Amino acid sequence: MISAGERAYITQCVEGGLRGDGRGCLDHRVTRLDVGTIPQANGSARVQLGGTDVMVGVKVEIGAPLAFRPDSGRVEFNVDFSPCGSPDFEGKEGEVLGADLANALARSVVVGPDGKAGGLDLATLSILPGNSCWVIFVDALILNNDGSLLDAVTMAMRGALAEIRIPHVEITKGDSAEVPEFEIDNEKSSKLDAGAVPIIVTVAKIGRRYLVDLTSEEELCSDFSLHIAVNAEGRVCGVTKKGSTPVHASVMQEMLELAQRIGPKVIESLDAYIVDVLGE
Amino acid sequence: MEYVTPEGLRTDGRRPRELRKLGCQLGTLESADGSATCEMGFTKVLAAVFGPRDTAGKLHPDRAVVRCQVATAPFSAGERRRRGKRGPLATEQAATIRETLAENIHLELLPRTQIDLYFHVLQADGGILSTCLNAGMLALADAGIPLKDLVGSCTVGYLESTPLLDLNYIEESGGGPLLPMAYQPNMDKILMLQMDKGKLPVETFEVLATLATEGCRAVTGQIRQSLMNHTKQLAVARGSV
Repeated sequence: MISAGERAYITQCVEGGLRGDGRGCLDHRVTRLDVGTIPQANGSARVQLGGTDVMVGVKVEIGAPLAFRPDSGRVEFNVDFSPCGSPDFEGKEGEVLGADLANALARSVVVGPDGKAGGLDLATLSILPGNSCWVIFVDALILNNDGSLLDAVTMAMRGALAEIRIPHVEITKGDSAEVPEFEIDNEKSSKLDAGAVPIIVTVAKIGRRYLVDLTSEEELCSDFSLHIAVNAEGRVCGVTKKGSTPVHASVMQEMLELAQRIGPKVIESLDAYIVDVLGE
Repeated sequence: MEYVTPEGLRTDGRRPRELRKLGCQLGTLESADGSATCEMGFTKVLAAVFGPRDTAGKLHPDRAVVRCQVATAPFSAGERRRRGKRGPLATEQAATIRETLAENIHLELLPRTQIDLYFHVLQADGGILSTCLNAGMLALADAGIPLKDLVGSCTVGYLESTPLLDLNYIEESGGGPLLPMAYQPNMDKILMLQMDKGKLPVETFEVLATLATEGCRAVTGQIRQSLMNHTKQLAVARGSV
């Protein structure tokens, strides 16, 4: 909910190229990234993007592959709104919002049957085709919502995935010849190659201006926004449109180009910090 | 499985009457009126307080109404928790936490209001109830709600004829009796005491209850310290020191 006066204030300011917190239209808020906040998860990170506060925990477990992709691993997304963030998140409300975000994530991050377009080579997660594979569970927890949730979640996800190591698996012929057995060697493990995983840059339009990293008030003032998943090379991996207002194709093109410019810069600064913390 | 070695060391290298490292942080969430994170060893709980506030819900004309909810993060335990309904355990724990902490609030000073307590278990490694109570105590203080006393909580157990203080997950699954206790140090009163699993001779129970009280006193000492530090920081930030 936003009052007509506040809406007019924000819209007119943006029209003049200024925002409520003094940022320019294409600037991000101060971003804080902590990697390894949950030792019991295989990978974890917390991102504070201005007032937005999210935590991502990643668990790697053995599961069954999908029937139509027997030789690939799986990635599952789940977004929970913590009632600690706001009493409004309690109950059904939060669940519906969470399912929406999880779908947008799945659409942007695991693209194509092998997942390669989304940055993860799912084939490397296969253990025994048709029988078992590694399943990567990405669980996001929203502690406070001050806009640009998907941007913050994907940033945290990048931090959490950088920590993931996949244990080495030795396949041996079991006693019964039909079902092979495997041994998991936690000592020997290899890093998950997640460098090509995209982050989401949300671009919105208020008046004639394009904005990135919107606060929740600004989100209420824009008629529509695009969640654009961009990888380190600046390629677009997925797009989700939010808001019912139709968009002109040329406007969409401009927004995509904007995300392609900004995304790689964000990834670069995130990676520089992650390498600093985790080492090579 | 051996829970206490002949040298008197536990699975994580502690002595039987030793607490785990206790970490307290206040004001960890921006949106809540009061918030805190409490860590007991690897167990980590986030608590948020909203209120005292006016809501559309049922309010009492003479005192504040306290509500409480406990959620668990899917990545909190060793195995990923499947998504689903909150179990009966969470509901029961929430009721215990609500009753215990509400008893420590001057509810009569806040008529026609509601206080919401939310807990999110970020990591589970034993002593969840105690960690929730400690985090809730800190968050209530951070929210500036009038309290009667400090509250400190810890859990004791009895395994291999040894009383153990502040059990971790492995020790909690050892099958021995568990006694979570909450204690008010200045009033010298026990706010909450439960005994789950198993039975005990009365003499042993007394030993355990004494140990739990001692543990709670140590915990409240730490809670007091972190509240003092936080208040000092606030005073410095306001320039009044």
